[in-house]
Order: sequence, then C-alpha cells, then structure tokens
Amino acid sequence: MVHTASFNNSIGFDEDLKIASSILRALAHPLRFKILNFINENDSVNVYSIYSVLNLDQSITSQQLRILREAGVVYTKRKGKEIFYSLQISQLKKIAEILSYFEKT
Amino acid sequence: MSVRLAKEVLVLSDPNSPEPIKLSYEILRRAVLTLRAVNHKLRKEILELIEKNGRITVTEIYVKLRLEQSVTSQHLAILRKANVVVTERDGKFVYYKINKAKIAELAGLAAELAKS
Repeated sequence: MVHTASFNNSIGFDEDLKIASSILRALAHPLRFKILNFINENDSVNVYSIYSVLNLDQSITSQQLRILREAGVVYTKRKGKEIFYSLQISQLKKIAEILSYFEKT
Repeated sequence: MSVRLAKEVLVLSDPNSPEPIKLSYEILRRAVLTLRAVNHKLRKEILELIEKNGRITVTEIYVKLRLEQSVTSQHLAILRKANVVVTERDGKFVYYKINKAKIAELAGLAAELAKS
C-alpha cells in the first residue's frame, strides 16, 4: 500500500481503474455480446430461454450472466421461482459514452 | 457462425431515446487494452519512476528498477501504445515522459465508470 502511494495517489485512480477494467472486460466478450443482444431483443428473459435459444450450457450461461450482473449491465427480477434478466440501460449508455473517448485514439 | 457478427457492433434499444446505444467490439477491446496497459503492477512502477523524474531514459529505468532491458522495453512499448507515455529525443538520448493529459483523461473515464 505504502509502496504504490506515490504514483497512484498523485494520480489517484487505482481502484477506479480496476473497477473500470473489469466492467469493460465483462463486455468485450463475443458470447456475452450475444447474450446481451438476446436480452435486448426480448426485453426480459429467464436463464432457460437464454441457454436454450442460444444453444449454450446452462452452467456457462449462468457464469456469463453473473459476470454481466457484476458489471452492472444487466439486472434481475424474480417472478415466482424464475429469475428474469433485463438490460441496465443507464449503465450501458454510460459505457457507450465512455467508449466514444477511445474511438478517437 | 454468428460469433463474428456478434463481435462487431451491439445495437441496443434505449426506451428513453430514439437513438439506440451502440457498443463496438473493436472499441471495447481498445479500451480494455488501454486500461490494462496502466492496470499492471510493474508498469505502474515504471510510470511512478518516470513521473518522479520528469523525464528518464530506458537505461535509467532498467537500472533503477533492476529489470532486464528487453523486459523494460516491452513494457514501455505497451505504455507508449496506450499513449500514456511519450518519447522525446535529446541529442543521443531518448527520454520517456508521462502523457499527463492522457492519464488525466483515463482517470476521469475510470472514475465515471467506477461510480455506480
């Protein structure tokens, strides 16, 4: 902690950088892109429809959904025994805005 | 395979706007690589050393950090590619400097993303 003080504190974005990296890494993945696209087309979907329509393993699907949820780009709603996934539009919009800075360089 | 298609641009409808949200896979990769360039223990040490010195040569970096020259050059190339360091030639020497504007921009973007 002390060691990293000078650079990180003077610039002061070490923790932010870790969080930002993990959010962007969560998105930059072909399969997760596909899942997001599927949720977008259907508004709100349960895990079963995701893995059956996209022809994926249930465990892989759950893993990918957890990563997307941790990145804040999807949220869940429970209806009875089922959990439905929807896009967290505000977060996706923010990410799109941030990405526009990387378009230039 | 539609994997290739999925890799290109994700277009998501935004209920609050007629404009969809577009996420380009390529730009996302670029952003990930840029952040990864800085989010690395040894490269942070290199950045720290450059910052402390204002400007510094490769030789000074690898001597002070006790690194292999080749390893140092590799990491500097990653930092240069991410545009967080810039080089400046002075006679025979090439000096590395921090691109403060770029670092500030990245810090701002990272902070924006990190707050939720």
